[in-house]
Amino acid sequence: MAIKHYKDADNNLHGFPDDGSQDHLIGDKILLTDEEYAVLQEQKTQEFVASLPAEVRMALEMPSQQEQMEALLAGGQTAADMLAKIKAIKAKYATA
Amino acid sequence: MSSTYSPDLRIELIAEGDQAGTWGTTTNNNFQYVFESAIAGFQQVPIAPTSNNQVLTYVNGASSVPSLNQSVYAILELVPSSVSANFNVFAPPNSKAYLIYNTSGYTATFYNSTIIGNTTPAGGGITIPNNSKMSIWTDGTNFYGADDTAGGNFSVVGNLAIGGNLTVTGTTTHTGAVALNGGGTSTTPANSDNSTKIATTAFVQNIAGGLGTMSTQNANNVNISGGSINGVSGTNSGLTVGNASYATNAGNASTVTNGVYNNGGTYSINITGSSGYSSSSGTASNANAVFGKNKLGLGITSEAWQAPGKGINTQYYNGYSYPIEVAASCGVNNGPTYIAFYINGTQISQSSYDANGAYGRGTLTFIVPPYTYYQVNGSAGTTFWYELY
Repeated sequence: MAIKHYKDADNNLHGFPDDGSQDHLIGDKILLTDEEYAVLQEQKTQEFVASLPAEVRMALEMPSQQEQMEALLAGGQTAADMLAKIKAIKAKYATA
Repeated sequence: MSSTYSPDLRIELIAEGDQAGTWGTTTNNNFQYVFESAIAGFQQVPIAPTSNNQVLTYVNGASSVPSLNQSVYAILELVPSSVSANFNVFAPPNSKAYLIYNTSGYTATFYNSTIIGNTTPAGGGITIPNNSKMSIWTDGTNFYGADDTAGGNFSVVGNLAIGGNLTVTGTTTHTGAVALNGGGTSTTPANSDNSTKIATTAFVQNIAGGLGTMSTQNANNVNISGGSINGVSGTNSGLTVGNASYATNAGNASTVTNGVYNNGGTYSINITGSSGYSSSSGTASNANAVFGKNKLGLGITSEAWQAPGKGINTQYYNGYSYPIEVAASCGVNNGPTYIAFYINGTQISQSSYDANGAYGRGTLTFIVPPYTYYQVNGSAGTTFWYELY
């Protein structure tokens, strides 16, 4: 059973089986092509991330612990760059 | 001195001393073309209205051409000429009586003009449906139907059709059948009334609410689809209960379908004496034995994991009559992931995952009740989505 995707007046996304079993729920929603759905889904993903608390968004943006550990072990400019990156992210969300 | 004309029928009134030697012709014309026409004259009026309005023709004095003086005639038949909609007919603003036969194909409404010849209604009109014959009259301003009251008895040999309401102060007697196609009301008889009065819905509901002891029920089946059955007792009574949520102490029933037995607060299924089912408590060998369903969901009755091709940040609906389980993952390589799921718009749970640079995915597994909306929101693209149904 495949899924056909729609958007409502607020651009919220909805999926219904293409066998017609839930067509009574479609109402005035607009049918999307696969390409349109992919674009809107990415947009809704960004909106969802933007709606998260600042500390969560900072965590999502922060380099992984493995990346930080490798930079620390590498030392030199690599460690300095990593530290600068971490500081920049913290500074970005400190004012959020 | 010249002639003048009477106000209602526009009869030529010869001035004293005028028309020496010819006044007889004028007088005869008045008799033949005005008096006779106004008393017994008949003519057909071809209906070809302009903007749905048509004026009856008129002249001052007499005319030997009927079509030039329609308004003076006693009897008019409205016949179609060039008409495609209901229309108005305008008569002079003077008192007059008419007999009208409307065969134009459309409804005609008679008005008085405010000024003779114009199409501005002076007052109220009278409507004459197609194929109707009506006696009407006007006081010069308003048109009326001639027969709105019958002084004595009134008999109709043919059919009687009433377009408006019918009010009868006395009693009515119908020898034939009476059809109340729009519904009907009546006074509600007393519960104890056993006469031939009409039973209203209120009467039936009163009776149904106070059955008392029903000593005999000869119907083959009694189907009770709501409420509860209390106080049923007896042995080997042949009681059949369908879709009952609780059937307490029904051990003597010959058939219990879809019954759930409440044994002192402990719910179990206890089916005794029914072929095809175990008599031991807590056993449901078939989904039909529980709530009358073919499937119970969650893999209990042959459900299997499916890949329906669904994705994050999109609302879906569980249209099944049983719960389904959803397992969804999202994320990207080398990054943390945040994922949450919602039932009917309410966030139920969330999860975040930091894979420390490995192949990390935020994952949630949850149960969706029947007939509810559900949605998974994630911070990155869908990687897995399976459903158990």
